[in-house]
This record gives sequence, C-alpha cells and structure tokens, in this order.
Amino acid sequence: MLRYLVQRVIYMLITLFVVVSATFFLMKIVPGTPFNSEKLTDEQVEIMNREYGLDQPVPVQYLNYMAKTIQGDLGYSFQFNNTPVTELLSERVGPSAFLGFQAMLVGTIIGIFLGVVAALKQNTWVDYTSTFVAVVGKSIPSFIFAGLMQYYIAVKLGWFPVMFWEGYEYSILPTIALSMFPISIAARFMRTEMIDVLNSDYITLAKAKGASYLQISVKHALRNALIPVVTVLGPLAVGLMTGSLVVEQIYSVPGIGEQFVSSILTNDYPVIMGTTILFAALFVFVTLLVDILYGIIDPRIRLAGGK
Amino acid sequence: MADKDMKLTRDMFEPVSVNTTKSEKIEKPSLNFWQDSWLRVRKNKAAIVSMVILVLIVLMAFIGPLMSPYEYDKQNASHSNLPPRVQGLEDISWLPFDGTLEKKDGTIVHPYEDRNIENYYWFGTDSLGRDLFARIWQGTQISLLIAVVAALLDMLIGVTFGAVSGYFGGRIDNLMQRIIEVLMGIPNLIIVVLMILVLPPGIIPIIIALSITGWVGMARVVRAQVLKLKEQEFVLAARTLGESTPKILFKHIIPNMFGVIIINTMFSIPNAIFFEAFLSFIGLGLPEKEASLGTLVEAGFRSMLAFPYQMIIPAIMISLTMVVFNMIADGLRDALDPKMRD
Repeated sequence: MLRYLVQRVIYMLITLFVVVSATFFLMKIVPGTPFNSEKLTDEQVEIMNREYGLDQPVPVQYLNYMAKTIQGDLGYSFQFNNTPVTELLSERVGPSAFLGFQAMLVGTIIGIFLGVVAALKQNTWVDYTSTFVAVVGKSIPSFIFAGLMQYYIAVKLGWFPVMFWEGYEYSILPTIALSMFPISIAARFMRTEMIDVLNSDYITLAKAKGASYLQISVKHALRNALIPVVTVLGPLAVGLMTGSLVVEQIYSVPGIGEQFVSSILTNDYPVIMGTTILFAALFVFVTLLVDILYGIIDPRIRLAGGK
Repeated sequence: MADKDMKLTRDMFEPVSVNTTKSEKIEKPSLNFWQDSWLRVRKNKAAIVSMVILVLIVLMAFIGPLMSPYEYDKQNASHSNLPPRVQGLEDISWLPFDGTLEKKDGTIVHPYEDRNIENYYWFGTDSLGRDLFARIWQGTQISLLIAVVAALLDMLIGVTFGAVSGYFGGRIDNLMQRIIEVLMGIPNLIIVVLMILVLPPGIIPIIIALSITGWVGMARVVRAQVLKLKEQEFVLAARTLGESTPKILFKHIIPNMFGVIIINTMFSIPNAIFFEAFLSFIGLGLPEKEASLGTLVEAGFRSMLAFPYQMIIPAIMISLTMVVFNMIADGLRDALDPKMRD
C-alpha cells in the first residue's frame, strides 16, 4: 500500500510538472499580447514588458515561473490591476466549491436512488424510465440544460433568479444543471452493480433465510452495491469541472470557471495558467483520493504493487 | 383439470429411432460475428429507433441546406430575426410555426405582416437575416464531420498505440504506459482549451485538439485486448508459420476486437460533438461565418430573451443528435461486448 502510494504521488508530481510546463510554453506561442491597447506607445509597452519580466529569454522566464509556482506564487493578473492570481482565484473558490459539492451530493443521491429503483424493478416501466432519464441526462450537455432552464424556469416562470450570486436561491438552477451529469452516471452505474449483487449467492441465501424484501434490498444488496460507486466519483468530479465553466458563465456565478472563460477572452495569461494548474491539481488529487478511498472501503481490491 | 381423466394408452407412444447421421446436422445456418451481433442489436428497440433517426439526421444534414431556398451564410438585413413560419402550418396557432413572436410583456407581434415579408423561413432567421433552417442542417453537417473525423483519428492513433504497446510488451510497453498515465492525469478539457488557444480558429484545429486527448481511452482498451489475444493459439500458429509482426497484428489480432473498437468509436463521436459545442460556448469555436451546432447554440443563447426560437431549435438538434448517438452506442455495447456474450 505504501509503495503504491509513493508511486502514485510521484506520478501526480510528474503530471503536474507536465501541465505547468505545457501551459507555460503554449501560452508563449499564442497570438496576442496582454498590452494591446492602442493608447500605449511602444515605449510604454517596453516598460510594461520589463516590469512583468516578459523581455527576458523564454528559458529564463520558464525557470522563474517554475520556481514561483512551486512557492505557490502564480504571478499577477494582467487585467485586474495587478491582483495576485492566487488572491483572485481564492476569492472565487467559494462559489465554485459550493456549487460543485452541492451538485455532486444531489446528483449522486438522486442517481443512486434511480439506479437502485431501476434494478429492483428490473425490466418494468420504472426501469425503462430511469434508464431513459440516465441516457438523456448523460447526452444533453449541461449548458443546454442551463440555458433552457434559465429561459423557461427563471425568465418565463420567474421561480428562481435569472443570474448572479446573491443568496442561496441563486444556486438552485446552476446546481440542477450541473447535477444532471452525476445523476445519469450514478444511476446507470448503480443499476448495473445492483443487478450484479442481486444475482449473487449471498442474496439467494438471505432470501432462503426468509429475510424481508426491504432487509435484503437495503441491508444486503444496497450496501455492497454502493462500494464500486466510489470509482465513478472521480470522473464525476471532472465532469462537474467541465460543466462548471459554462454553467457559471450562463448564470454569472463568480466562480473559477467563469474566471477561466473571461481570462481566455482577454488573453490574461497568468490567470489562465493559474486556473489550469489549479484544475489539473484538483483533478490529480481527486483521482488519487478516490483510488485510496476505494482501497480502504473494499479490502477485496488489491492495489497494484501492494502485494 | 380435464386432462387428469385422460387415459394414457400404449399406442399413444412410439419409440424414437436415433438416426446417427442426422444428429450431427446443423439445424440453423451458422452466423458470423456480424450476423450474430445484428440479431442482438435488433432486439434493442431504442437502438433501432435511434439508428433510423440518425440516418434521417445525416440525410437532412446533406439535403437540408439544399432544400431551403436560401444560402446558409447569405445575410439579409431587412429579414433579420424573423420567427419560424411554415406554409400550411401557419394557421395552426398552437404550433410554433405561425410566424408570430411573443414579446417579453406578453404581447404578440407579427413581424412578417409588419414588415411586409412574403417569404417563408421554416426555422426563422438570425440577427443577420440568415436562414436558420439552412444553417441548422449545415451546422449539423459540420458538427458531424468534426466528430466523425476526430473519432476516426482517435481510433487510428489509439489502436496503433495500444496494439504496439500490448504486443511488444516489456520496456516499450512500460514506457508507453507511463506516457498514457501522465496523459490520463491531465483533464482533457484543459488540453483541448489550451490547444485551441494556440491553433488558429477553424475546423481542422478543433479536430486536432479533440484528437490529442481522445485516443488515450481507446489505446488502453486495445492494449488490454491485445494482451489477452496474443497468448492465443492462432497467434502462435501464425508466428510459427513465419507471418510478419505487422500482419499478425493487423490481420489476426485486430480483426478479433472490432467489436470493442466500434463501441469505443461510437462513444467518442457524441463526446466530440459535445466538446465542439462546448468550445463554441466559451468563445473558442469556429469563426462566426461558419455554422456548427455549437456556434448556433451559442449565438442563439445570446439572443434568447428576445428570440427564444434561435436558441431552442439548435438546442433540440444537438440534444437529439447526442441522445441518438449514445443510444446506438449503448445498444452496440450490449450486442458486441465480449463480456456480454457469455
């Protein structure tokens, strides 16, 4: 287990190193500069370049950037009056994290419920409805949901605020839009697992012992079927990250995703790089966490290399 | 039951003569892999319906732009933002094709009559007066093109990478697997966005950006299959007979995993459609003149409040396409997956 852990952490570091390097060099070759206001004279641009270290050779800039990144300094935003990127992002972590957790929670709970019901009522209309909901939820992009809900529920019916972030009710529509993906993935996965478990010998034994339907489905089947669901949490978190970019933009939620999109449009390199690194770090961390969690919850899983 | 009273007499039975020549006879014609799979796909009604819809969508993607009397990129300022109106359906008020538009305050306006326009725009027009019917199908065509080409590229790279890695094993495999592991560690959203930032906007850059990350899943699946298949006797036989390595790989091993490859490709098509639309949505899509489902949804979204039809029609189109592809992929997986065959 320890060897496995060390190995995984090393991979994590290599991955992050690759991401940081890649973002740096890609940003160097993108067209456009941060100082393209027509009011600036060449001289002023030169001064600004020197100020931000953009006049040095690329390898030097790279080393500087690496050293700073390791120390947790992601540079300064070009757009927002020299605000440090770390500060800019930390202000925005709150709404994103809140939305992400809420969507994840709502999504997995509803998804697991749908999956279990579908498995218990296999090949009935309940099952077909649940499967259909899952396919539709997985297929339709979250920004379509977000857009349609914003129009029909917020604008037409006026049940919820249309956009912005000024209270709990502002988080409801974005959460629903984001949770469609977790719902469908969790439902499909749960259904397969549950059917698998329901066909296993210990369920037959429980039935033979005369355990009640409720006891069998909850105590024996559900508890065992829940274990592998941990493995889909990783992909779900990634899906939420992708979804958050557009959903936050649609509902004007002041989160990381919205920041990322607006930075792309304004060529604000340090913020783009900082956000990318943050996303990558989150992703790598979640994957590792899920793997470890899985090993702890289910002792039957033998981790590779942990003989 | 009445049957109980029935008397069983001896003459009701006769001994069966075992004909040894007939017992070996094969009753049904033997099916090859594809026929067998087709039998199973056919049972999945959702998949069949989806296939029919998909065929219609693909046909319309090519015929649609020609059916409309207007060009997809022809601007006409005096015909801007017209709601959908269809000949014959315009008098049915509950259908959204009557050429009227409900304003935000609830009043109904008749832009066609108000502006003295005789034309019929089946799906309406956008803010530059371009015919949305032609644009939708043109956009479907472009989106499908991007998705299919990206999926094929994924397949090509993934199969080659996976097959080489799995077949040769040892140090090559080790190195290739490490590369995959690092690539898997990076969220593909980030790679796609960064690639698009660097490359000039256009169809080919989007395809490249999608393929850069897309092949990894395929490579992993193919490698696992190759590892399994290369131990089989027919590979040993081919090797003993002196067959060259590429031939063994491409003639003996890969044909045996067509099922897995097809399933994976089918799943990567809707994924590519999604990413194309996603990129348009965050402002990194195709240039404005071009139409793809993504750019249409994005443009529609901006004018959603005043002209909801501009958002809703492309949204339905992209959702339908994605659902249909996913349904077919699911059906194929159930039918082709070797794990389900037992």
